[in-house]
Order: sequence, then structure tokens, then C-alpha cells
Amino acid sequence: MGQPTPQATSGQGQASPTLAVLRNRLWQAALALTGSRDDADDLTQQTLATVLSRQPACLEHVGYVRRTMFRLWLDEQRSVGRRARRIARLAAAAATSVRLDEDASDDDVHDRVRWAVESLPPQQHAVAVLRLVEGLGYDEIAGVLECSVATVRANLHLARRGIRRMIGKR
Amino acid sequence: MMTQPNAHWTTEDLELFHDEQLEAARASRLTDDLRCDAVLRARLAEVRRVDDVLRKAMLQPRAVRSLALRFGGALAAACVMLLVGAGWLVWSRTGGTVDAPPAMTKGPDHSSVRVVFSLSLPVGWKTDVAQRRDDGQPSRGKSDGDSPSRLAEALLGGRVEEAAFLLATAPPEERHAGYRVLGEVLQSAEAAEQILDRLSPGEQLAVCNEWAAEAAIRPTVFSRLRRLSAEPSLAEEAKSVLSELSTDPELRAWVRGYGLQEPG
Repeated sequence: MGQPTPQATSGQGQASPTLAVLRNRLWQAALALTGSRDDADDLTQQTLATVLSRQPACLEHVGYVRRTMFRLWLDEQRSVGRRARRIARLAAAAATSVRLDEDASDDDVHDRVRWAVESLPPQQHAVAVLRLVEGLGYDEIAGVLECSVATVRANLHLARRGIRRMIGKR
Repeated sequence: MMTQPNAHWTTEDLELFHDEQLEAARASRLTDDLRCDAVLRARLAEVRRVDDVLRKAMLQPRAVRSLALRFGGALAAACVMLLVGAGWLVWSRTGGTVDAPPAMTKGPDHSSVRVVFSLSLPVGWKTDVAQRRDDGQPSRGKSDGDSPSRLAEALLGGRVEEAAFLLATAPPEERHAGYRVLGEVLQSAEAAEQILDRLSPGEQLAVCNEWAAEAAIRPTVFSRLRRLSAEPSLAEEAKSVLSELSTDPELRAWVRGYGLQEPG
């Protein structure tokens, strides 16, 4: 159930094997960014639609498609509606937050870390996904996010430090 | 006296080593140090553990909490509708004999029914503040149990002073997100200044990073950033924050406008 079905994301019934592989790969990163299956489906679909409408020839260029997806997600994070939803999410999460004690359950830990990840500034969140989920090197991440390697290094360190602080010691 | 190798290496060095991004010469020295220092090995293991926990969490969708959040609004709306409906039913069956202004009781027109909801506001926080000021010490006693919900209530209600007080005594893991939300409800530069003054320089930098996106308090934030970046002990951290802010075209103009060096 974890992966999107071809029908659900392509809207054309059958997809080429290359496109299916690409979509699954994108979907995993999209899930790490959005935190929900539905949103990951939407982001993947939006990315493929954008690439197809602008540069269909680049569809097989994974780097270009990935960069498009991260740009779309970062742009969305800056929108007013998104910020309003984030306020509501953070406030509600603060109201029901769980502290990671020695006897915290796995669900608590997962929930807490997921919340901590979503509380990171978008740029740090994106760098963490590219490094830890996509397994890219610093220079490749710099290419995707169109920034310097020093910025990647700083953002990744800040993201890890932020997570360590937010989840605390278990 | 010989210093432990552990002390030479920062957490960032260990992260770079773990990512295979540390320069060859330093990586070789660190490998040697790791062989003879158990504390250093434990620190590296902690870096790996955090990465594993993070990766696992990012590859799984939100669980119960997201459902609660997604449907919470709809559920609350449904409850409100139910309450209104039940209230109207009871009111109409009892002939509308509620305490109402004379004008409302004259005719059968029910269009001006008022529904009043009573919200339980947090009690005792003013006492807590006063007590804390008298003692000169943070008091985390009786208010601990309900502080997260009080914090959320204060933030959503825009009660800045109360939220700032609760955040100052909140555990670190709640403080980070809380300050961000606080920035989004802050409208007063003076209030922002006062809140920043209560924090340590490192925390000020982190909070400024969060608040830079808020137009209402941006001048305060950038003035503070200018002051903080002039402190030698914060130079590296300030550079990282400025580098991050400069990735946003709108904020890049502010970084330049305030004469803050934009990292290459």
C-alpha cells in the first residue's frame, strides 16, 4: 500500500517502466518531504506534470526531475496558506507533544521525530532528505538546491542539531 | 597534561566524517583517534543513531497525530453543529423561555438566537509569573503538566506575554517550534526585542533565523543579527544563519541592506 499505483499517479493507465521506476523513486523523497502518502502522490504527480509540460526530453534526467520536485516543494512552503497550516500543526502538536522518556514507545518516538522534522526550516528539511533518504553527496545536493556546498554543510549540521535538540535524549 | 582526542573533534567534524566529507588528512587523524578513544566512538555512534532515527521517521508517513490533525477541524465543526442543533431543539421545545431581551420574546422569529461558548482560559499563569519574579528562579512545579496545551492556547490566542513566559520554562524540544509560532503571531518590534533579550546569544541567533521571515518584526531581527554576528564566539554560527537566509531572494536584500556579509 506504501507505493502509489500507476493508475493513481499517471492518470493514463499504463506507464513506461522507466517512468514507473522514476515515479517510485521520486515518491519516496516526496514522502520524506511531505509526511503523508496523499501529499507525496500530489507532489510526485505535480513534478512529473511540470517536467512533461516544460521539458519532456528531461524526463529521463533524474537530476533535473529531482531538482524540479524540490523547487516545487520549497516554493509551496513559502505560500501563505502553507504557513497558516504549519502554525496550526505546530500549535496542535505542542498541545499533545510527547516527551521521549526511557519508556517511550516506538510510535511516540516516530511521531516525535516526524514532528521535529516537519518543524525544521524548509531548506534544512530538504537537505536532510537529500542526504539521508536520497543518499546524495554534498556537491550533488548543492546542485539540486542551487546553493553552495558550504550552505549544504551548514544546513545539514543545523538540521541534525535541531533534531537532536527537539527529540532530546532517549 | 595530555588532552583527550575527544576534545579536539566537534560534532560537525564527526558528521562530516560519517558523511565521508572530511578532508583526507583529518579523516585519517580522526580514524586514529577513534581507535583509542571510547568517548569519541560513542559520540560517532550517537551521530549515526540520530541519522538512523531520522531516516526511519522520514520514510514513514505521519501516524495517529496526523489523522487527529486532519480530521480534528472537521470533528470540531461537527460537534459545534451538533451542539447548536441540540440547543435550538431544546430551546424551541421549551417555548423559548430563556433569559432574553424583551424584543426577542415577542414574536416566534428565532433568527436572533445567540450561542455563547465558554472557553476555559488558563488559570494561574499570572500567579506563576509573579511568583517567578519574586523568587528570581524559574518555577516549573505545578504548571508543568498542562504547559504544552497552555502554550498552544496562548499562541493561538495571540497572548504573546503568556506564550513567552511558558516558552522560557518549556523543555528544549518544545521551545524551538514554539518560538517559531510565536514569531508568526508577534506584531510588535518592542515585544520581539524584549523576548530576544531574555535569551542566550546562541538562542537569539536561532530565534532570529526563525523570525526573519516575519515582515512585521524583520527590522528588529536584522538589527539583532548584525549585533550577534559581530561577536567572535558566534561568527561561525552567524555565518551559517546568514547563508541560509541569503537563499531567499527577499531576505538576501535585507542581509545586504543591513551590511551583513553575505557568505560566498
